[in-house]
Amino acid sequence: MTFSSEKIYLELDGHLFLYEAGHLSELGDPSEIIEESIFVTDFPDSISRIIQVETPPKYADVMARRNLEEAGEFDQPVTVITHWKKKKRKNTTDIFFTAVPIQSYNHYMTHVEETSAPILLFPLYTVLHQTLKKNARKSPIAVIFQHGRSADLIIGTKKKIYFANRSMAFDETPEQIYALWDMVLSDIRSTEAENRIKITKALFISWIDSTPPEWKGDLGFNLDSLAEETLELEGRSYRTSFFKVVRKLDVAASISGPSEKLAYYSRKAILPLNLILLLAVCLVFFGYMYFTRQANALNMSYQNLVSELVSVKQLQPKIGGHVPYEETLAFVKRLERASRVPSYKEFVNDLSDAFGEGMVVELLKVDYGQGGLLAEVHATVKAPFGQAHRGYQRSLWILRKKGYCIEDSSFSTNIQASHFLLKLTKRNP
Amino acid sequence: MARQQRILARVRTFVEKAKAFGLVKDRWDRYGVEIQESITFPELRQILEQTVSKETYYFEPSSLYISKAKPESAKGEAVEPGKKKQVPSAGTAEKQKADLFLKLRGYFLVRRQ
Repeated sequence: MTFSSEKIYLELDGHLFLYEAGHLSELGDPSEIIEESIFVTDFPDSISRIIQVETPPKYADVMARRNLEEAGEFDQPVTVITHWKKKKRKNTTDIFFTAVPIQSYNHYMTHVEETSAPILLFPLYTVLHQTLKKNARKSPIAVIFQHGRSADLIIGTKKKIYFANRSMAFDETPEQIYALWDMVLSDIRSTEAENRIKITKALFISWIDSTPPEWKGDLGFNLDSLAEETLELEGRSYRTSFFKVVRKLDVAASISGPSEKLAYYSRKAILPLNLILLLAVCLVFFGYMYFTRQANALNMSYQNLVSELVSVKQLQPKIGGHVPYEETLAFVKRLERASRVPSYKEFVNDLSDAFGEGMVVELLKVDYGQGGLLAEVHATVKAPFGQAHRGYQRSLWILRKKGYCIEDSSFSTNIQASHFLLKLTKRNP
Repeated sequence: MARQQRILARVRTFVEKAKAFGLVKDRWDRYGVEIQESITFPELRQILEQTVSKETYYFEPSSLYISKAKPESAKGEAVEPGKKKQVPSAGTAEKQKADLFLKLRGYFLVRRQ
């Protein structure tokens, strides 16, 4: 998450500035910062650099602090703010840090914690480091921030930092500034030589009093000035790229506590959340309107159907209501069936036609159902087998011709006489 | 709706015509016939000739059983109450010379005058 336009406080070279909406104003003391804001500081009396310590990464900051105290660079205890560290060999770690006198550090942190509004505190070298990480590719680049008689330089890639240091001139005369840029170039060259690397690009962050370098000839790298903006300070216009860089900082890179970061995130989320809530309310409202209209339309068509049904029911008796036709229809069908079914006589005559001489019906059973008749005939033929069987087959053929269906038939013989059984059906015509 | 009206009109017409032609149950008499006895061939012919539909009545056949010998199940079988028994006009002497055993059931449907 990066920042949009808002209040940015900058403590630099002993001065405290407030940047707000293109205007820069100078304040007296950091204790005046009581609003939600970004606060970038170079921590007075601090140093930023890369050193190698003989310890695993876990204890690198402790060892760096101890080295600084043993070297006598500070006359008071210090706190180490780690920007980057990487294990180089076993028990050897490279660490890039800003060392701040502990009293000063506590003063800043206590103020940030005690202020009710969230303040995101960034060391100046965090700004440079973030700029490097956002712009570097595989090959190393340099980021230079020149302000007054100081120039902060950091060299590295996305994953590795080779060099970090602040160079200072004696004063801000053009000669001294020229010498300051010489020192910067010298640091770049020596870093290239020591680490056997090639700097491909140098990014220049400008301040209101920055003087771009007058390097001439082929430097071996491109010097790019970052995009600037115009701001006003005490009625005068200046151009600087610093605040543009600050607005691109990552909130997570701040050294403020989690509560300040969370409060900052929460405040930032209020507007989008309100917008989402408003959108949801609008959706619910319009959804309610839409579905109410749909429900009304459905209710109207339901009422229409109900009234139509009622009118149909009212109309039915006028048409004639229930006509008692079932009994009449059943009786007519019964008469019609009686007129069409083959009579007993007709059936017996059919059998007489089918059965030839010598065939005697022993048993005849006929049942009449709704669909037709079902008959069973047991007959005896007192004749030689050949004649009896021919007669039997002829009987079957004649019965079929007369519209009977032979459901089952069997024939048995004892030579002199034969017996056969027929099961017949005939559907009503 | 219109279809329902058409159907109801046709049904009503049917019922009215059936009434006009007298094709309703309460204007017809129904006589059940159940014969179960040994008979001769002439008697059988006479019976079968009568169990047909004519201009003035219908005969509705139900079941017919004819065998050369009287089955064991029919011996001593009682006639169902309420059933009319059609007895052939043949005399006792002829019965003794019966050729067949007959079981016949059916109904005469006669229109009232």
